[in-house]
Amino acid sequence: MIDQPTMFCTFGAAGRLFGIPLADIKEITDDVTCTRIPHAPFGVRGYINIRGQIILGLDLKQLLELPVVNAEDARRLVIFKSAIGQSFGLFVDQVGEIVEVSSSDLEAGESARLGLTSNGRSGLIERVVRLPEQLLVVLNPRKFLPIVEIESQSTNT
Amino acid sequence: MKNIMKNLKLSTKLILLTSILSGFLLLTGWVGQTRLSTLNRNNEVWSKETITKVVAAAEVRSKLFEVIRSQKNAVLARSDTESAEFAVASEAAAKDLRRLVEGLDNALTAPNAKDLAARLLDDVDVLSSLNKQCLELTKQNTTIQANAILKKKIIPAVERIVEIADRSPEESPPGTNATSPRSSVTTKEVGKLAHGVLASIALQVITTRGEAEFSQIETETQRKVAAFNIAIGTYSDQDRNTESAIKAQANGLRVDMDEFLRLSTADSKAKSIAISLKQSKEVTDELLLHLNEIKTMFEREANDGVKASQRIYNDSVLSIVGMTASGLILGFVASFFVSRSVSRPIFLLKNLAVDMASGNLMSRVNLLQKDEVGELATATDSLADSLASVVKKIKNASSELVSSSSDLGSIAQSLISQSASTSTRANDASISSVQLSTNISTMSSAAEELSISFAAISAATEEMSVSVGAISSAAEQTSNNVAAVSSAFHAISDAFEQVLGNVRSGAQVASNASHMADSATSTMQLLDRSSTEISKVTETIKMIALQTNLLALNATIEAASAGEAGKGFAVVAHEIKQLANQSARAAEDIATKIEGVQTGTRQAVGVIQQIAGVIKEINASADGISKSVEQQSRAAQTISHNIHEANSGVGQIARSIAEVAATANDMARSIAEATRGANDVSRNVGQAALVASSIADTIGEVSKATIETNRSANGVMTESKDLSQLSVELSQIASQFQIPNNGL
Repeated sequence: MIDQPTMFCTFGAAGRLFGIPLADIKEITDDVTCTRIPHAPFGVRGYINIRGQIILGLDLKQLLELPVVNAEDARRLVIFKSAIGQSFGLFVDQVGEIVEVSSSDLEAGESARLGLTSNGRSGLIERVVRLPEQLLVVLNPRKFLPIVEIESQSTNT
Repeated sequence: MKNIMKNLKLSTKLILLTSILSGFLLLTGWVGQTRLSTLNRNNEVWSKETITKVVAAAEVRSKLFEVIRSQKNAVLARSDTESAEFAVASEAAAKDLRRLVEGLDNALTAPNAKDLAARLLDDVDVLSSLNKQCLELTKQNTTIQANAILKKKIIPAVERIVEIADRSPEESPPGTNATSPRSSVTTKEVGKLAHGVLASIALQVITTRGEAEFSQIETETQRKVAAFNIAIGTYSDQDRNTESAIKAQANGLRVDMDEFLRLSTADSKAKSIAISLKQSKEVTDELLLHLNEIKTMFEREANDGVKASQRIYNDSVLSIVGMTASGLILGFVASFFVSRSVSRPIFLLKNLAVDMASGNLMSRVNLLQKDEVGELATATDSLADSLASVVKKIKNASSELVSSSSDLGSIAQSLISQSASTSTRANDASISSVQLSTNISTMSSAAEELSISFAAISAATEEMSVSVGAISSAAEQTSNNVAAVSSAFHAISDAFEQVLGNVRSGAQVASNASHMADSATSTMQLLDRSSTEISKVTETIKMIALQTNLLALNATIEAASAGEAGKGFAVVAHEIKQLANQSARAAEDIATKIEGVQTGTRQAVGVIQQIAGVIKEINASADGISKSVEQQSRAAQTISHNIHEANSGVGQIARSIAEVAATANDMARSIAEATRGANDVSRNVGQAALVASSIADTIGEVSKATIETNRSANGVMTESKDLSQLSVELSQIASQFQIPNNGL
């Protein structure tokens, strides 16, 4: 029980490797049609109809202010469980492997040195874990909706 | 079941499986909870009621014993006051008992218990009335009074009488008692009687054995008392003092004994003891019996309750175990079908992928299943089909290419042989033309000589007759030379004819080669198109692999949410993912190979186009050769004509020379004519020399062109060999794949 590995679903965006705990993900789809929302806050790409359910689609690269070479690159949609937030998903460039990170490695992950706070956009990144080949940026999906809400409030006022 | 399983979506299957298991879990939990709560309620009710009833029964029992004990105490008490106290306690206890029994009766709810309760109440009533009666008797306490009389009065009086009797002197024999005929009873006898009465009374006091015995003893006592009274009436003694003393004591004793007998007959204690021992005991026994019955009933009820609880417990255990077992069996069956519907196709797909990787495109999955795995199988089948068709096309194209390239090789071979023959001919022509050139230069020098001769003629006509011989010999030589030139020209002309024929056949060959090159180019373009199609197919494969990868990822996510139950499926999803990656890699391999084929094809097309260009060049140069040769031919004909003319001119000269001999007048004209003819000859010869050198040049060009042709043909040969090798490679690549023979 102590050394039970956490499973992460990895995906790439702007050439970097990001990870989200597998337990938070409901499903991953591609080939989705996104309906843009006029005057939507920065980071919101639009609404997506997944089998009759309307899902708010966020753009990871916009949220993390990563360089956007081609907006159509991010076509994969990671949909989260309702426990994470109500009906929303995240557009990523491509979906990678599922990696298992042991809890000791997870604990050893950098978080304090980056000066990551739980507020603002830097709160999206929880920690950075060292994988054998590259670094995995672990995201906290629970922070996504609140940040978009804060941004929309600041743009409204 | 199987078809439904096959046609459901994978996620639907998983959701179905999970919902079956959780549904049974919920059902089991609900059933268990309701059963247990029923059991609990039942137990509570039973235990509360039973405890209340048992406590009530126990209280009744203890109170009953208290009543009895107090009653016994009251009966056995030594003094009146103690007896009264115990009696009060007993009555109070009897009242309490009645109240408790009433309470117990209320607690009895069973229908058959009502009757029992009424009987119990009756028993209690009887018992309390008996108790009351017994206590009343006890309070009278006649025995104690009788005992007191016995102790205080009767015993001292009897002792006194006995003492007096003992002290009185021995009586005279009955005969001597004549002085007092009435006194038939002596003092001693009185003493004996008194003693007997006392003994009887004492017996009566200590006897408590039974009514009959008691009354017998009492009757005996009364008889003895009566005998004593009679004896006292007739008693007399000689000693007056003794007599009076005895009488005084006997009178007192008589009163006391009467009192004692009255009290003793009343015998309240004995009666109360009798009541206490008999009726009260009977009633108490009956009461206890009833109480025992009630107790038994309670035990039965408790047993019923325990049995009911046991039954409920058994039911609930059975239903929980049944629910769990059926849920487990259903879940196991469903999961078996789900995993079977996934694992078998995946095994088949893996085999297909392995076959495809090893180049065997014959095998198919042919899975009649409509879920994602079925779609994957269908897509993989169609992939194998299109791959097979493409490979077949490649095979056909490469075999066609092989035959084309061998054709091309043979054409190049024939071109080389043709060009070699052309070269030989050209060499022949060259030799001929060199000969011609030599002849012409000889002719030229002869013509010059002629011209000089004519000049000499012109200068010295006088020496004409002398010179005629020389002229004649010169003309003859000229005629010979001209004939030699003419024959040489014929040879040249023949050679040119041959060259022309060769060139024409070369042109034919070249146009054939051009045609072949065109066909090869079109074949190559077909190949290129096929390769492009293959590229499209590999793109489709990659897309399918990507989607499969995504599918497998989602399956892994589902499996992870399913927890422990999804662990097996996670392995399957991993396998699918690996299969998808393998497919993507295979597609990548195919794409690389196809790219190689495309590059080869493009190179071949380039080579063929180069060959076509070379052939066109050959064609053009053959045309040039043809034109030059025709020009040569025409020039040679002109030369021939001129030589013929020269020949006729020489003949004319000869005739003129003959005429010189005949006519001197005509000589000047003739000489002028001869000069003109010689000039003509000279001009013609010059022209011939020019033409001959031009022929030599042309022949040199022909030779050069031939060499170039030969080189080009060798190039064609090399390229066709390359092409042949390429096509053989292509054929080998294609033959790595096994393809079905039918339908494609």
